[in-house]
Amino acid sequence: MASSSKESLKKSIGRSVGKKFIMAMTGLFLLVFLLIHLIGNSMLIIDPSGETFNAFVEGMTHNPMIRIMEFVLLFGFIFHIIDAIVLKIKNRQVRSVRYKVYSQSANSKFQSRTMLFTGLTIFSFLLLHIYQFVAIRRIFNADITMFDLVRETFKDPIYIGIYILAFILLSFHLNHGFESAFQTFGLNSKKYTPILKRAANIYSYLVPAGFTAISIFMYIN
Amino acid sequence: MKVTLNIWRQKNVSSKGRFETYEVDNIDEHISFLEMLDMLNERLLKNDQEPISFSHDCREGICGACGLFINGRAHGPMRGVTTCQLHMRMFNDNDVITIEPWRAKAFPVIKDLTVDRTALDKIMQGGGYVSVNTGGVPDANSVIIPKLIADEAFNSAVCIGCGACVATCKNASASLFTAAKVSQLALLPQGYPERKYRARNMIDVMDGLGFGNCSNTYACEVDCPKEISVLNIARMNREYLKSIFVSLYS
Ligand code: HEM
Ligand code: FES
Repeated sequence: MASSSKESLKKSIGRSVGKKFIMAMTGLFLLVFLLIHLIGNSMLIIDPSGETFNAFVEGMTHNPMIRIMEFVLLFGFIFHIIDAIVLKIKNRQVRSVRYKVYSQSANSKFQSRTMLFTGLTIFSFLLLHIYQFVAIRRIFNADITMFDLVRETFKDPIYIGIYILAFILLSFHLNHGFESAFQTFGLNSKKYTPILKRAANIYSYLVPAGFTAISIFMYIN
Repeated sequence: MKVTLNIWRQKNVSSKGRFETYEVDNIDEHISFLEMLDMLNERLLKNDQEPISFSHDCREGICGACGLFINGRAHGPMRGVTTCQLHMRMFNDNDVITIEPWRAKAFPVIKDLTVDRTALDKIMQGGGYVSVNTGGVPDANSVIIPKLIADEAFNSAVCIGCGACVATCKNASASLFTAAKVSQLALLPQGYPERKYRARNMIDVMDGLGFGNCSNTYACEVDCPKEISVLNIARMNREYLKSIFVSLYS
């Protein structure tokens, strides 16, 4: 059978599966970003004086590749969020009468059912995070090194609480997201399912645990 | 044993519908769930009341006609069985059981618990024809298919099209159904010539009929009476990638 009508990139991305590809592609990109971010943060522990961390931040700020990647990251987030909402809008229209009894916990993980919720809470945390660590220095031109800014911020136990809560929710998001992205790309098979599940668990527990540990370390020091 | 049933009653497609409560007593625990509903219907008929409409045919788990949403699960609480193969011994005396029709915009309720699943047929039609060699019956083994592949295709082909995957999915997505159909043909030489466009065409129809987007919760494979794996969905996604690649660059 010949293709029934002419295919275009717009059509390919527009179908349900195409939209999911965008979701998975941006999601995987964010997973990589998060890991690199954690490696950067780990310098706070490796060298408690903060010199290595400041030097790293300086290096990043002047690296043109990183400046370009910042834009890619911004668009990664934007596409990820818009796509999530577009997918959700359709998914809310598909069942006009709801079930009276619906035992979802019997057949699916709650992480997979709460992706939009965990995603949107991560997003609100992200706004706070960007204000505190990016906007203060770059927009309001505060004359403070990144290390001092981090140290000041993590003196506040309330902020540590918010930070940890955000990472718990992020952990749920990553736990499903990691596995889901590979499924969406069709990279799931009998042989790889157990490996994928394990990798998803390792990533989604260790990465948020790393960020949390660093924040507590900063608070104690 | 005795059970209390909350059953969805709805006159026709356009009426609103509501739950009604019925009690059924003196149930032998070895009868099937549908036989228990038969008992209730006989009583309703005897009292000049409208019996409860529900679909069924083979009553041996192979036709895909039956399908009720029982206590929040497609085909009830047991894994790997259709509603007709569910037995009352799975429930306890004095249980309250809520019975609802498959709920999805693409499956309008015709009456009570009976829904219209024509949408699934339309997805199949969307896949188009399958080219086959005409002429004499080919010799056995003239087309060799490795056992592993044949088994895998069979595991997809066991889909009976009951719609449980759609019913149980929080997004009322038909991905597992569509993926099973895409898979069985993608794996075998019979479906090969049209393979490049099949996934794409079927997904087009699926999207157009008002099914939701898959969010990989995998509830479908748990409630599928034939235990069809979500790995079929991964295969459909792969087929789709190949399909759009071929279409965009040729
Ligand atoms: C560091 C931040 C984030 C990372 C690493 C991340 C990662 C991922 C990954 C890998 C997926 C799986 C894609 C797939 O299902 O194929 C995903 C899905 C999803 N993400 Fe995120 N995400 C992040 C932030 C967000 C934000 C801010 C939102 C806000 C709306 C969001 C909403 C969603 C939703 C709703 C899904 C599920 C889509 C679906 O199931 O169809 N995510 N995410
Ligand atoms: S009536 Fe045929 S599968 Fe249940």
